[in-house]
Amino acid sequence: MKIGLVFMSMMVMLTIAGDSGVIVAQNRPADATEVAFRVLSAQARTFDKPIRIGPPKRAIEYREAVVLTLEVDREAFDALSPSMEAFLYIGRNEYRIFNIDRRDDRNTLLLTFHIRNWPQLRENSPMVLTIEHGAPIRNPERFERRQGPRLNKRILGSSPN
Amino acid sequence: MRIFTFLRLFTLLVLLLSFLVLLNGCSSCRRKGQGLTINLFDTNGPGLAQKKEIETGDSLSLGLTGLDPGAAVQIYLNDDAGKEWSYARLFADQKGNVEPGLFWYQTGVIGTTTRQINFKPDPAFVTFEEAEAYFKQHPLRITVKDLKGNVLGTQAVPFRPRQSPMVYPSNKDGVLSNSYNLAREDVYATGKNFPAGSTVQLFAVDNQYVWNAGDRLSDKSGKDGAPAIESVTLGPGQTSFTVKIWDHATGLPGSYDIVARIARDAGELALKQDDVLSYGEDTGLILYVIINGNIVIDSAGRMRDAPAKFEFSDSFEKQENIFAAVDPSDVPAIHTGGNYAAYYVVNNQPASYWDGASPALADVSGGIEIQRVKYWCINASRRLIWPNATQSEPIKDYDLVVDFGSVPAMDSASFMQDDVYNKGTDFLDGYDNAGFTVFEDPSSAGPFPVGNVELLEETGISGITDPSGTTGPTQNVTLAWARIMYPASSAGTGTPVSGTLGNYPVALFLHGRHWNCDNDGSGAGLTGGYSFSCAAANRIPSHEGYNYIMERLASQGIFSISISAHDIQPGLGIWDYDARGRLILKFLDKLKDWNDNGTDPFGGIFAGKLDMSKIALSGHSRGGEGVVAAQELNQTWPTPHSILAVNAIAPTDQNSVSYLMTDAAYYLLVGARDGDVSSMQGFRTYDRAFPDGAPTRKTKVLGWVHGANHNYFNTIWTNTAALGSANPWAGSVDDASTVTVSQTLTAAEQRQVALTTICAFFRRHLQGLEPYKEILTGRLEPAAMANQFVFWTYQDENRQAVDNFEQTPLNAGQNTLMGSVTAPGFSTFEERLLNFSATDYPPGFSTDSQFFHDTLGLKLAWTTPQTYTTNIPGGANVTSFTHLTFRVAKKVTGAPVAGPPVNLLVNVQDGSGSTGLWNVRTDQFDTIPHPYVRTGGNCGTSCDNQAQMVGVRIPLRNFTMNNSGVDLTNIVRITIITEGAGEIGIDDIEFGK
Repeated sequence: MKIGLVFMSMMVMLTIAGDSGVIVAQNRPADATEVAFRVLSAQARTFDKPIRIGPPKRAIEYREAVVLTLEVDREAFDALSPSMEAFLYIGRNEYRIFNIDRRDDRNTLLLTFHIRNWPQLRENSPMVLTIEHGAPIRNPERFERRQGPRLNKRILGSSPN
Repeated sequence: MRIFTFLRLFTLLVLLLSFLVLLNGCSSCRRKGQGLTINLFDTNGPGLAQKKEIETGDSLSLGLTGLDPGAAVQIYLNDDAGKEWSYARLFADQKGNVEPGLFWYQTGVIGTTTRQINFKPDPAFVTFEEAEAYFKQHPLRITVKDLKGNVLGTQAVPFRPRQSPMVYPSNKDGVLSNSYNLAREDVYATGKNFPAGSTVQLFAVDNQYVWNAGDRLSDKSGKDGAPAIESVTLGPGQTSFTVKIWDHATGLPGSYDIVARIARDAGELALKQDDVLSYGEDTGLILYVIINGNIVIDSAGRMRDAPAKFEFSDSFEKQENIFAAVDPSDVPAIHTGGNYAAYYVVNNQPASYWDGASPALADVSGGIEIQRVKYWCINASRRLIWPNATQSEPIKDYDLVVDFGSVPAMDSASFMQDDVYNKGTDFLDGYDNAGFTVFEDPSSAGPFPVGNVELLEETGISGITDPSGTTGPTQNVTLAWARIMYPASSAGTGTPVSGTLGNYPVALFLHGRHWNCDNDGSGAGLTGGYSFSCAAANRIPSHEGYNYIMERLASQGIFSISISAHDIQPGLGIWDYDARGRLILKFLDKLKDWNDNGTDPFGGIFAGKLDMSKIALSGHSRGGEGVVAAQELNQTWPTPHSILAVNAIAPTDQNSVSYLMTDAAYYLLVGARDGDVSSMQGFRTYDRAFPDGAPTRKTKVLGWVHGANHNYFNTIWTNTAALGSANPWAGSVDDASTVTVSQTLTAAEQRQVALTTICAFFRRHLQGLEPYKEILTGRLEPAAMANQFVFWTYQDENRQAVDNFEQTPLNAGQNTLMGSVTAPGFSTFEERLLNFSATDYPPGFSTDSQFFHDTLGLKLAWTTPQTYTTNIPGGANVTSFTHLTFRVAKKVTGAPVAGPPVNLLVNVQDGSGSTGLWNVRTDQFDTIPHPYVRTGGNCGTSCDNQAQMVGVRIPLRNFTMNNSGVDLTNIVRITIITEGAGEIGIDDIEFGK
């Protein structure tokens, strides 16, 4: 895979509490719905081969996207309800996790997202990683008003090739 | 003082004695039935006139008042010579009354018939003269007893020779005859006690059970049913006559009454108060022809309170009470039987048996039941025919015969048992299909010993991982780990597969996401997590959590395998669900190879033993999304598999491209107390499945279970306390422990719902056991299940939308068939996107997020009862369907508190304006529940008052019942009437099965 251009970092969000241990061990805390994160990078990429997602007859296919990488605390992330996928919301835009980089010797996880409509995103939109699916769309004011991470498009180093 | 004390004591003693006397006296009163009143009625004239005495030829109706509510009584009619002329066992209603009903037919005169009979009831008379002579000498008395034989009341029945006019159908000799073979027999009417010299007009009219003055008189005795009113003029001194009123050549098969009017001309063609009627509640005469055809009807079913009255069914569980009824709409005009018949439950026979010579009837239900089966209302024919249905076989078919005996019987005493099915006369619930089936719970232990093996191959799976990361995950997905249970020759590990059958269908289970690694293996301690490099001894065997279902399926002859998604559990991001689907297909490839080539690692025991043409999938949570993905990915799989049925338990629906059910039957099972997938996103998979216009449509079923959580469907995920036995594996919790709810199922109850219903679904589709369908419609409530917690939606693959509300732009005023829709008076009448999150619809629709669905639907709100009407342009022929169905949810706002369900009143109308005789209450068939009361957990208050739609399923039979006249070939309108005040969402108004 040809990796296109630029790497830029970093918008610091909430600091992640560190912990030792290989496999995170805990009994699940009750009802956490959001996970704090730190934006590590946002890279515009062109992929050698198209990404194909979904059943072949209806697959979504794309070759370009901004690859956004977030770092989260492993224990906090793994404490979410196991079946509910954490979605990233930037304003009213919803994104699925593309990949989870999980190594047993780290207490953080790296989550990557493919943002294909980066140009349409509004600067300073609230960003939230949550299992409350649709909440930032149903009730955007709740997220607009509060303190929390915001999109800063300067994290993107350059446009795709 | 002493005198006062004595007086006080004396007074007390007197009071006590008085009380005891009263108590005893009252008890005696009750035993003697002094509160009982016996009322006699005449059924010969218009209306129901009370009668103090009977005359020769009268039929006698009888009513009782003053009984204890619900009391059972036996009623005897005897004469002084000890002959018993009639008998009935009846039950009082809640007011202690027995409504008037026919008790004795024509003073014991049975008349004559040209049909061959082998039995003559005793006592009985052929002529009225015989009866009159006898009862002059032998007074009659009615006696009412309780079931222990205690006499509750008795009353003389005064008799007098006939003085008032009477008319009856007869042969040419004036002998009573109630049935005529149109091949050769003419119909005569005989009159007696008419005024000498008078003129009598004779009408032969359609039979009615209840006649009232003013009812139309339409004589049918002319050619082609045209009026031909006979006129008889009596000579001086002549008071009786016998005249032919209907030539057999112009006779029309059917049942009729005769009306005599003393008048010079026919006059107004409406019944007058002083007309002479033969008969009212009885049938006067029956004209018949022998036809070469079976009269096949529905008869077996379940009781329903008014107004629904009865629901026909072909499926019953062992120990269930089975009822029968005859819908007056099913009684053909061409019919030779009387009003009374016997219900026979017989072993199922092929059509050739019923078409053969004199098919014998052997009842297997403990005895036949003689019952009135012809009346204007189905109520009269309802009868318990098989209490606690018992059989040794797990599943068995039966036919039900409504046998009219050897001669037309107008009361139970006249019924002549012949134990023979008379084609063209007797009714048959069966013939080319079984009349009904009785079966045990589909999850009962079956006949096969269960063998089991564990598959464990570290690199047994390949082809899912994609190092490039563009078409699949980069992480290794190679572990082939599974539990297998199968029908075996003997129970044990690795025992040979049973040779009873050649091969066995396949059921595959896939669990969802759960910690895949226990820090201390299965030892003490409950800490764990997710890891791509978990030591083998620490792997949590989530796939073993469905053994309770697999063991039963295997015992019933279904090869069952539950596979581990261990390598996927840490999370594969965008590939998570695709990988689960592909993992299933890889395992199916492996099973096919085992079957075709004998390559299984257990010594080839599965070679040729798997029926790979019959495969069912069950997935839980993310595994639920995985099974939906598998059946869609299967369409483009290099070697597609024959997946017939898919079950998803509390599934997710989170893939970037939503997977669709496309070509297998679907059963969605969701718990309302789910504390994990609390957004109920699985409902979206149901909403999307098999829309109108889809190239393939299969049956889809939804079981919505109040009180069920997410984890307890899997025993490995169930905590020790709830499981009732030690569970050493980490991560086992009640996922809804922080959710406040009003109803909770125990883990065992929850598993039983899954066990019974998944077995029913799989066995229906893998083993062709169609009767199990009725568990999935909710009509058959298995004794083992907590049915009151389960709400069903069933949409058959054969269905026709009247309104699916999918037409855009949204227009509540027009339905899918382009018919107009009206809802005057509703405060809300609008179409909306009913969606909580992650819709597949394009943006722009007004949305109601209180409905946890993904569908366009209708919202109705009302403050006073209103009527919603949807019109069908040109009329619809719905005769190929059996039910009117729709989906509906009650919506409420505010704090989540318990509330009543919603009831709707539903009717249909045909092109000529006929409607069902009553509006059908939805709550007599399906409950539209108040939203499940829950708050808190991982969705806080946003999951309060979830409006989840359930199915309403109304038999079309209940609209045509009792000769309503509704023409199912031309339905033009559906009406839904609301009660009180409320708000609902509706979707998929359809005709279906």
